[in-house]
Amino acid sequence: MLVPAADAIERPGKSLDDKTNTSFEGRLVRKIKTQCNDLGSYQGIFVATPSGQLLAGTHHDARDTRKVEKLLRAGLEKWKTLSPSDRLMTKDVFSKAVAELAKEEGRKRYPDDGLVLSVICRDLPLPNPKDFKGGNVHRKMYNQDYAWFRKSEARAFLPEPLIKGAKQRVQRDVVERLARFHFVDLVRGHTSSYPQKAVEHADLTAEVIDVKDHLVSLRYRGRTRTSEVHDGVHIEGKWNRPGPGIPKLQTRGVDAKLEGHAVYDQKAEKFVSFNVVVVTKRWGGNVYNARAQFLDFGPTPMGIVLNLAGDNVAEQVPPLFFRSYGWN
Amino acid sequence: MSHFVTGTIATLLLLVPGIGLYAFQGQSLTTPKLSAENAKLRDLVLPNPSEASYRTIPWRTSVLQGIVDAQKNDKPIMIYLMNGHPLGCT
Repeated sequence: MLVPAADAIERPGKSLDDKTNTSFEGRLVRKIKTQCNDLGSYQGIFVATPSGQLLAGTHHDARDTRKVEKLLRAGLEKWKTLSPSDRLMTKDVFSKAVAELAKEEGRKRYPDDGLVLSVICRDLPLPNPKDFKGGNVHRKMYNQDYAWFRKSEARAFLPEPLIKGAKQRVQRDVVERLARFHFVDLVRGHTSSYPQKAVEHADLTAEVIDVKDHLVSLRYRGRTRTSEVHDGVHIEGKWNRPGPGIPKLQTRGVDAKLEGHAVYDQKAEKFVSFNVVVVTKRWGGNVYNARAQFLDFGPTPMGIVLNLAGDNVAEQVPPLFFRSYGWN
Repeated sequence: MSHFVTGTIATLLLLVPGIGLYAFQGQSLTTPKLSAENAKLRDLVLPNPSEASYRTIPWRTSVLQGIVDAQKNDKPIMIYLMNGHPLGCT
């Protein structure tokens, strides 16, 4: 009935909401969105024709499932009233879209032969549930991201040699990637990553527990800690503007303890399972990650689980802070 | 009774710390187990089937891919646009 597409507004070059973004995709998105509303934000759900005609759309009701269902039905009804020449692109325009898509596919950096981890975070229960700071909607919130490692980086998670009892610290830069970009407080929304200088600990030890034929069983244990103090420079989405309840000396950080296991297939040169639980204490917060509204600055417990991501396209979405990975 | 037995066995397995031996892809590979506490926390953190149900939708992960497929199939497109990818971190 509908072709469902999910996308981020941000782009490695120019965002979709940037009027100077002259890509086919950028122009099409702006055309559709401006028929819906004149808000500054491009966030929302839109039903449209391939030719770029808006059929239905919303910004405010995007989280209301009943209203979204009604909107989708309204869009489908409108679709039925349009002729093919109104709803579809011309051949020329379509060929431009196909050419741009081919170019985009060629730019993808998904590490097929490396390691892709699903990163899920959620607040952990407090000793006294009455201490919870947030609305009802926040109680069950969780967020997800993906952590990417190229083949050579994935090997950094393995001790050398791969024999029973071998034990080795995982290369620091790989652990730092987890600490800076993935052990961050995203439970309720975005926040900034940590600069390298904020990393106080980045220790992870890998130990070979067993080897059977080409399979290697590994144990992981470690700790990371990031900590930052407001240096006087306001950064939107990282530090709060002064206000009631906002501490004069703002700090933020994550102290994380890791425990888990994985199985590596030496024949396929790939991890075939990865299960690491990260128990953290997080502190700080800002308006973007919805901590400031409730003065929920911790320290409070947050859990993160690292699992092997699936290989379907929906799980090939780039990491939130991918641009900071430094992959050229 | 069977519920009790099953529950008890599950609890015991959960509480036995250290190392377990079980088949992994047909191999009897010794694999470490999570501590009981961390196993419980893992289950709390991971989304339940209801929370993860949106993953059953055959999403295209870009507007461009969606619009090309919509044209090919003569169908309307539904675009879910957010700051941060809705299928990743938003």
